[in-house]
Amino acid sequence: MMRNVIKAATAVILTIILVTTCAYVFHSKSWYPKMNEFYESPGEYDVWFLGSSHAIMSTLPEELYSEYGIRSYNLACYGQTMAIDYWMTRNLFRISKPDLVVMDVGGIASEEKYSEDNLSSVRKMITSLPLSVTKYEAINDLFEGDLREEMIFPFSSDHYNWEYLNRNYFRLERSYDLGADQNVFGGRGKEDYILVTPATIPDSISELDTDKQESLNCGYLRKLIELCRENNVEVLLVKSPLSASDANLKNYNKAFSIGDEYGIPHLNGFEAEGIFDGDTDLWDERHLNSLGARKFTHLLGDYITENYPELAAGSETDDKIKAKWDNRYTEYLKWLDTELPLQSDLYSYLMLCTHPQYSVSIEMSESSSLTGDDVFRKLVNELNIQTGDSASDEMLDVGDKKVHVLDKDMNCDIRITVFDADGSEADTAEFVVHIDSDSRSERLR
Amino acid sequence: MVFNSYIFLIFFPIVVSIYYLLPVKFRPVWLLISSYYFYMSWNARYACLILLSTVITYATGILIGKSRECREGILKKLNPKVFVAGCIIINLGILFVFKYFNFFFQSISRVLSHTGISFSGPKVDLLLPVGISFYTFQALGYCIDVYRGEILPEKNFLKYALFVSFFPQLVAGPIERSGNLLHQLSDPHPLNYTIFREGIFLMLWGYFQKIVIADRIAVYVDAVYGDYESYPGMYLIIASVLFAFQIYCDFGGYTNIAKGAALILGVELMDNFKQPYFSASCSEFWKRWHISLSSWFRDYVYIPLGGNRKGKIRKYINILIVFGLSGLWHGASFTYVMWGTLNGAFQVVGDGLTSLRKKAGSVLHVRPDNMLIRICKIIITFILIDITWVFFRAESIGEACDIIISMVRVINPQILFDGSVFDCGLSFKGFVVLGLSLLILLIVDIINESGKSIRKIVMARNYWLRAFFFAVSVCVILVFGIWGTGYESDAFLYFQF
Repeated sequence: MMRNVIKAATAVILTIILVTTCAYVFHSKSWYPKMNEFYESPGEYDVWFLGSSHAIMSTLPEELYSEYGIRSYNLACYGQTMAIDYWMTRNLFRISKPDLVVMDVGGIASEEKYSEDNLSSVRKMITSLPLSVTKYEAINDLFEGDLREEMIFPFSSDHYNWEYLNRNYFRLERSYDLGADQNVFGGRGKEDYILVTPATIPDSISELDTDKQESLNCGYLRKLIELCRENNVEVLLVKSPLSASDANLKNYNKAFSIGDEYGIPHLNGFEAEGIFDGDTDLWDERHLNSLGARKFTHLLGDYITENYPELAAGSETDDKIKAKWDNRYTEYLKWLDTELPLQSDLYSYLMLCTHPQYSVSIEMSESSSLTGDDVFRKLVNELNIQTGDSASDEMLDVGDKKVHVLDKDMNCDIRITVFDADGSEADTAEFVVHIDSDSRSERLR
Repeated sequence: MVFNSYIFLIFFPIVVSIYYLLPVKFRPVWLLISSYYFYMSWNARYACLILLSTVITYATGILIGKSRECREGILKKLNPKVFVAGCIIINLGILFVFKYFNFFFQSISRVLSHTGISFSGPKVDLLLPVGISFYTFQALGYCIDVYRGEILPEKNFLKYALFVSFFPQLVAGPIERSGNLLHQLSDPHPLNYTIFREGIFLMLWGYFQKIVIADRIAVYVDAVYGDYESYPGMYLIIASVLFAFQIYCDFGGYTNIAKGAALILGVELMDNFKQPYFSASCSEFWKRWHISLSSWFRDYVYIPLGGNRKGKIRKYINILIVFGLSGLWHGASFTYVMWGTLNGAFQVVGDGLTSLRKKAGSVLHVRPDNMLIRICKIIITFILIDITWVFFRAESIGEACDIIISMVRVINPQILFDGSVFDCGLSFKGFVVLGLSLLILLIVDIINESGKSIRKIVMARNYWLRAFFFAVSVCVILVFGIWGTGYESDAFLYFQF
């Protein structure tokens, strides 16, 4: 009898090993770039950013480290609600605890526990959580029916991937952005993407003007704050600026008022006068682009340094970790370089060139329609312009900056040469401009 | 709780574990509790219905037994025929109300509308209880067996209730005979490792048939039949041929899971399929397909009607009646009646042409056991049966006729080569997996047909090979099966009957 039991148990174990292997192989690794770095060393991150796409596109951990020495990770996710933020945090607290949780309150008004429209992202985040009873509790609370089964046992949908199996299923890509996602959903700087969408960023409204209703996600915000308190983790509520309606602003104020009840501070991006410009800083009406994200990250860096000075100081104590972070930042800068040649839109190109690692040389046709274009002028104002070598000594005023006049023989409107911090040429681009058409510009080179 | 649901995969091991941990005398009670839980997972209220059927048929059996034992008193005066007739009427009445009531009055209304009379009959809004046709026929079979004196009435109500509700075969058969099942349930077998693992392998094979083959075919068939006007000719031919395998693997898969589950519990259920598509005639097909239902109709309808004992004409009428009823048993729709009648008609024609075929054979000097002739007969039988499946699958007789006409009229073999055939929900890779799966099915059926059992062949290998075979089989089913998210965990086709 015992022999038979051992035989049966061995067969079952063999089966479990094989099924587990299949489950791993067929599981899409597309969440790796988002979370892999975090799971490799969760204890290294002193600040966690939480929230929806607003947060994932507005807070850049690498920039925060470079400028302030603050080690952070962006755990925000597309369509993420406070409910998911709460459960993510509760699960991740099991493996590590940060000093500060920065919560973007963009999803406060939602009455859903998760966003149906962003289920694929939600799925990636939830299934990436380490197996535990808390993970089961999270799934049980957030999902129902088939979806609950899928989250507990992702192989139930992953097994269909046998049809699409390719080398990406075996390659674990890394995130250069430490969980953030600049500019483009699913990958920064893709060809033909428009990364600059001029729109209006409204001024803030009175903090007393709040939404009267308490949404489902307000409840989860309270739970999140209480959870952090129980674990001695500070909380900062933030809202990155966007082209918001009055109703949106009232919702955000509601979240800040909940924070006030608990004595939790907040940083409202809409109150930052003279920093953000809707013409140049938005990826679309609802999200910041790289330029806007750097501005918001800078705002956050200033706030954190002033109010939590130990975070910036603490991260410099370990040389090994510092070296690792410095190397990673260097790789991040190289990765930024790879995006420039992909851009086919002039605004997008100029916006990416605003990164402090670049300096640019611009030659522009005197007759170009760009001379009267406000967005162009504002973007050029953000650039670090070199006025050194050029075929022409003739200069042209663009806003506060001067650019070279383009040789009349050239059949383009503008030529831009981009230099890295070490002075090496990173990229050169020539554009023909059609300001009034949908495509705005065409890249010739 | 369908067999291919998570809940069943949790439920069944728990039931089996507790079953073998309990003392033998409590095991039937545990199985009864489990069976009712299993049935109530669909709709708890309908457990009352199965209980009602159980009580009525149990009481009928007892009354028939008592009336035979009593030498005086009121029971002695009553003919057992009264009890069995009453039992049949009540049980078929329940079946009628839940399954045929609306169909009956709609049909009358439709007939009358042709004569200009407007009639809208009563309508009941009832959900068809899962497996009602199966357990009703099983319970009625018991009463008739008791009436005929073939078995003694079961006195233990709990054991009888288990006979009616035994969960592995409760909702889609096999429709067991009391003579085979009752004594097995009364006297459970001890745990037998060899039988246990045979049961597991049988279940695995059933799952392979159901979720790898049948449910993969369903993707294509549902797409094409669901929009048959957009998918004419070759699309429909492929869909119809595939549907023959879908229904075989769906129902055959269910039966194998049921038989495997029962075997694990120490109960051996009857065979329901014997390589049906190797049949060389329609009558042979019905000796190999859904054997438990065919034999039920043979024993309890065809033979009482006179069978083949009252001349050829009566025999043919009896065949048509039995197959018409068999069609109606499957569902309250004229498509099923047509399907059944067509099957009967093919048998009648086949029987009528027997002497002609024999003559032709002797003139052409062809031996009846010639392999080539047998293969031709198998192909012709498959085509005929497949035509009947069109009626089974279609939503209406008109739709079935349109589909058959489209298959004949529209000549578009190019879809096989230009990739259009892969635009109906099943990709090229999906078809490759399906082709390989059907090849495995064919090999297994050929081995079974030769009198060997693939299960026994595997079981005869050494332990590590068996363990590896088991693990790989589970993986193949899980990876290539159609299940989980994004897929309606379809009930087995025969659950609706």
